[in-house]
Amino acid sequence: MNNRQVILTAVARNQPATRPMPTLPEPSIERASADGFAQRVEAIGGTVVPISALTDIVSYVQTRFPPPARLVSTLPDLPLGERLSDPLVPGHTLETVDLALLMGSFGVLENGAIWLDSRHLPHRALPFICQHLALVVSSRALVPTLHDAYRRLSPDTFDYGVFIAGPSKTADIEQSLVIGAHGPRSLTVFLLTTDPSR
Amino acid sequence: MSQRFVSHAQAASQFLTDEARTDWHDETLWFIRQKRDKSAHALPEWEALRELASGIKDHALSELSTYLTQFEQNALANGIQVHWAATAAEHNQIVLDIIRQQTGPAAPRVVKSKSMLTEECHLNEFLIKHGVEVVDTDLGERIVQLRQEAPSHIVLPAIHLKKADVSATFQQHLGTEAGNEDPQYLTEAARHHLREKFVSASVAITGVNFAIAETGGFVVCTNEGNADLGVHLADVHIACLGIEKVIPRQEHLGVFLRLLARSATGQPITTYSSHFVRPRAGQVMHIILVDNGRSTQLGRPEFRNSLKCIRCGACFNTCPVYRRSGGHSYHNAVAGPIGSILAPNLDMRKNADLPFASTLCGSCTNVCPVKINIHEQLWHWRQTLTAEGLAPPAKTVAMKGMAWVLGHPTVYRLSGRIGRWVMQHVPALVNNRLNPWYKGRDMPSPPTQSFGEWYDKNRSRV
Ligand code: SF4
Repeated sequence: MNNRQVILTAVARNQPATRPMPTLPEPSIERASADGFAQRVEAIGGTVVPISALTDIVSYVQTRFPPPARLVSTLPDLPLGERLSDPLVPGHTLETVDLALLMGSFGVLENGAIWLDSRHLPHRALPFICQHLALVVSSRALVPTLHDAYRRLSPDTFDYGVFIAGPSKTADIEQSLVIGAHGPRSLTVFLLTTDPSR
Repeated sequence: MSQRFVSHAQAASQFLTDEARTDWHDETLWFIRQKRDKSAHALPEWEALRELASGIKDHALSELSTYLTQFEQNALANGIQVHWAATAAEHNQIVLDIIRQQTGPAAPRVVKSKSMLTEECHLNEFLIKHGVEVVDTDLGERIVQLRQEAPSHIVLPAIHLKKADVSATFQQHLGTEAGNEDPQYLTEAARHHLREKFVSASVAITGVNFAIAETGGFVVCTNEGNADLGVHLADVHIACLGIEKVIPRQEHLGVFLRLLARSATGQPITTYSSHFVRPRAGQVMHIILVDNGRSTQLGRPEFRNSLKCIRCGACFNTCPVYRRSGGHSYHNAVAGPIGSILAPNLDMRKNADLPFASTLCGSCTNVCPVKINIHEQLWHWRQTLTAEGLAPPAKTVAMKGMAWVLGHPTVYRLSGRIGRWVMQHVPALVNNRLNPWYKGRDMPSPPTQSFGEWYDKNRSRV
């Protein structure tokens, strides 16, 4: 027998009689409030900037990241930064990116996390290797809990996806919180309060 | 790390010699326990969530062979290569073969994010012996790696160290300023040091928090972003997981991710919860499914529950013994209460002392997010080990003596009287180092009469 068979046989022999699969909670009834979400994001070290149109982002970013800062953006129609069209660009060429500006799919009220996945991510390394990260999320795309979040994510629709909750952090040195461990040193969330399609 | 064997009790008494440091360790972990409490109490449905998590794990373990097969099929269909390792040695060999295949004779550079499984298998030592440079990238793990130590906690690997220790280590290895103990400064130094490793590594190894049968994908949680940085920059990703990590459906992640970080550090979720389903274009992805004793543990009804563990560390932070003895005293990759259950399954003889490193107070069981009956399992191990003749000798002698005394009523009565007389008149005879009970305790002042004597005298009056 090969390893696989040895292990599977031992598992099948030793596993107990079938136990029932529990049922998950019903979807939340209440809506997720934008204010509550903003407070959550701030509590985990992020900065929230309310905007009413995507164009509001331009001046905010230009003042904080003046040239020669390197900006990469996935937001169409904004006169900001480079587009990454080739997913095969080696990840380490992104090491010099000062700010990555990306569209998040939705946010989770209970923990301030924002979902991003391969469908909207030009390079998987980008949100981690950039010095600073900015995510745009619509206040209409907020869910109360993680249970609700997974209801939105039908299996098999993405190759890679990540919940990002705040900037990278560590407390490994005597439990002192330090923001900016290996990943971004800051996270800005542009919270859009009107429909971007208008 | 192949020094002379030191038992938990011996290592703990060593740890306790620095009283101030022990107090600090104790308080730091208790503080984390309190953060967990605050976070848990903020969710009215907390207990229902624990119940749910426990139920999903019970179900998953009861059909583990089916879920493992399903996971494998889906992972293969996703373009991931799947390997099976029955033992730690096989696991290590598979990792080495993949690395060799990737890099040929060139000296390979490997970055690794936190994985208790690879600690359990002693992968680092194995790879280094075979000429592979392997760099731990979690900050805490890098600190202990530079010091040639093992992590002392599954979530907080360097929790036993103070700023001054880290400062000295970084001065020696990374050239930071002597005496600069500022955590911000030290973290920045590590950031630069590790970025250089990330961009030059060709292979990245990660652990796995949850593997999903339904999708063939898996989830890795970090706060630092080190797992993702490693994986997305390297050509090859090797993910190592114990076979018990498989859960049936993606939606079950909602339950586990709500519990994990809250139980671990009190955060509502870790900064990054990364879902890997298919390799990116040009990347090769491997999964190694490791048994290493897990299928055996699955067949032991009284210890099976330990396989539900999601490695949050809450039982460590609350444990009065762990807090005052430190992770290294457990001489096992996973320390603390859960480690004391898992370790004897790996090596009963070597780890026979660990189930005795507990007060059986049950605090671990109360905080465990998947409702493992930790303290009961510790008690079961004591029975099993004693029956096998493997209990620590001091305990066995004392227990045998006690059993004899309890079995002989006259001796029992007489010995009680003698004991009380001794404690009253010559307390030094029991308050000394030869009495294992005196270690770390003061003997109570004895009553003048036993309950039996009191009862005999007062019975007539009732
Ligand atoms: S046994 Fe429970 S409390 Fe301890 S690490 Fe595992 S899941 Fe957490």
